[in-house]
Amino acid sequence: MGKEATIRQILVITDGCSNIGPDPVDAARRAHGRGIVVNVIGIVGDGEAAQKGYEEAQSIADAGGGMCRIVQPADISATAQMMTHQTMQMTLQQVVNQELMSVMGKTTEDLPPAERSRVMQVVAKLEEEIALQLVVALDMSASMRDKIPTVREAVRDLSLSLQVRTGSLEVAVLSFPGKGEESTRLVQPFSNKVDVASLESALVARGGTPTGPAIDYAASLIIDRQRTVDEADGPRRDFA
Amino acid sequence: MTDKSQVQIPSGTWIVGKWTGRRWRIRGCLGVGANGVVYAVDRDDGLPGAMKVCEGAGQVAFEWSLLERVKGARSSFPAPQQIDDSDHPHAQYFYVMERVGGKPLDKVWLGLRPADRKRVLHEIVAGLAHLHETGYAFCDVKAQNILVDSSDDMRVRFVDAGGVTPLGKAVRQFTPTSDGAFWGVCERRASAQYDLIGVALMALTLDVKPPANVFSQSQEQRRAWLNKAILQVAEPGWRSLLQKVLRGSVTDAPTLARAIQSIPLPKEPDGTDWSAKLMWGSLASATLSTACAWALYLRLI
Repeated sequence: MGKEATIRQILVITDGCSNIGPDPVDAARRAHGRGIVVNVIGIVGDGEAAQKGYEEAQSIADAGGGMCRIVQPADISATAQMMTHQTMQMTLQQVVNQELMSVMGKTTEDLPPAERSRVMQVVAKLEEEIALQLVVALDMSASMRDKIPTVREAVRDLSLSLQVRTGSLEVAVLSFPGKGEESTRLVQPFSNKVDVASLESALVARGGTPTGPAIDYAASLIIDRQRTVDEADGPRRDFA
Repeated sequence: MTDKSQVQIPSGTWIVGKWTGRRWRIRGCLGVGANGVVYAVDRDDGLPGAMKVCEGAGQVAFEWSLLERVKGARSSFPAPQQIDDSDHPHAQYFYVMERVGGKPLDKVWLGLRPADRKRVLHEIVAGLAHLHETGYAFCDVKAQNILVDSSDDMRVRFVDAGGVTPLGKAVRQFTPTSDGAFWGVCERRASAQYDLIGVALMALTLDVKPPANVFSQSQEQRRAWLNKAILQVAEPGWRSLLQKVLRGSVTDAPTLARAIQSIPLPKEPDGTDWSAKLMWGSLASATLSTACAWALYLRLI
């Protein structure tokens, strides 16, 4: 497994149900079909609407091959970090499982636990070294207004965690809805860190919640990026 | 993958290891963490232990490998005992480690005398010094992860090795309030210094609670709060040591351990001295009155 391998993820941070555009669960399924994992952090709310939001968040993550956690605003930062790390590990474990299956006809679970822990050490090392492409999609619907500073700091904090990894990092940030009629807006194109200044000025809460279009847009960003890189460097090996 | 539901296994249940055939009896739940549940168990031969159960085989195997790497007679972490699987639906993948005594530091801190606090912090840093020698950092330094045994001379043990990371690698598990990167004072990379800053932040936030809105503050605002909080530390020796650590001028655990040891203890109003004085005072007055009584009786005065 060379250094050219890349893990691709979308992280959706939302506080409610989508109400504009295509079904976000379908969008997550499409993204997962293209080798992208979709994780969702739901922010705790009240009432029946919140319950519906939690269920949708879970369905998006299930369809996107990722994880879902419902948390208080204060816990977004630690949760985002934990989820990114654990889902990278899951993706790598799937790859290792496929390799074990093809070589030995066994999965990691079939190995004695002591040998399993040696496999996990390899997975941990790969996780530290593999390249990561991440699109953070931020719900900026009207109800998010009070939570913007917390979300902004959480995204900056996530980037602090990912920047010190050995493997390279490319992170883009988008908000949904965007300005005017736009359903999404690119806050920051792919870069090796999060530009806090651009977050400060671009995050404004307004309007509804086009989660589906946001996931589609995030996936297209990753796929377009891949195409540009492939043309420049030749084909890469990807994990799905 | 679904959100985990933390189903607890009832006490008295026997968990049978698939690979070893050993059996463990559940005695009770010790705690529920971010990635699993820990139970107090007794092995079939009576050996007490703590069983960590996680959802996935990977997480269990990974934590086990960390415990294996940091084990040793001088390690502050629980000694690993056994990793195994079972057919029990809520304990499919688990490992068993030494059951460590004591109470979490956040539960005992307020009741500790200055001399005990000094001793506890020294023990923590000494434990870190040993860990760093093995090439790893603790990373998830927090009061809930440190057990203090007041019945055993303030012995300090670390629990939850899930954050243990090779020096120089990215930190994977941390707690914001004791994470130097959250406060804007260092990188989130495993190093001796990262752990020492964690200890300083933990000690500081045990005494001075961070504001409720700290998560929406910018790093500049967080740093400003830290600087103010340090000024609230009453003892000048501690205050200047905390400042030094958070400024990054203490980079290794043995140096910090020596610095802690050399901090003078405050002159406290000592309860035992008081009662001793009272005792000698009453004894003296009793002797005097007895002497006077005898003198009067014998008509000497």
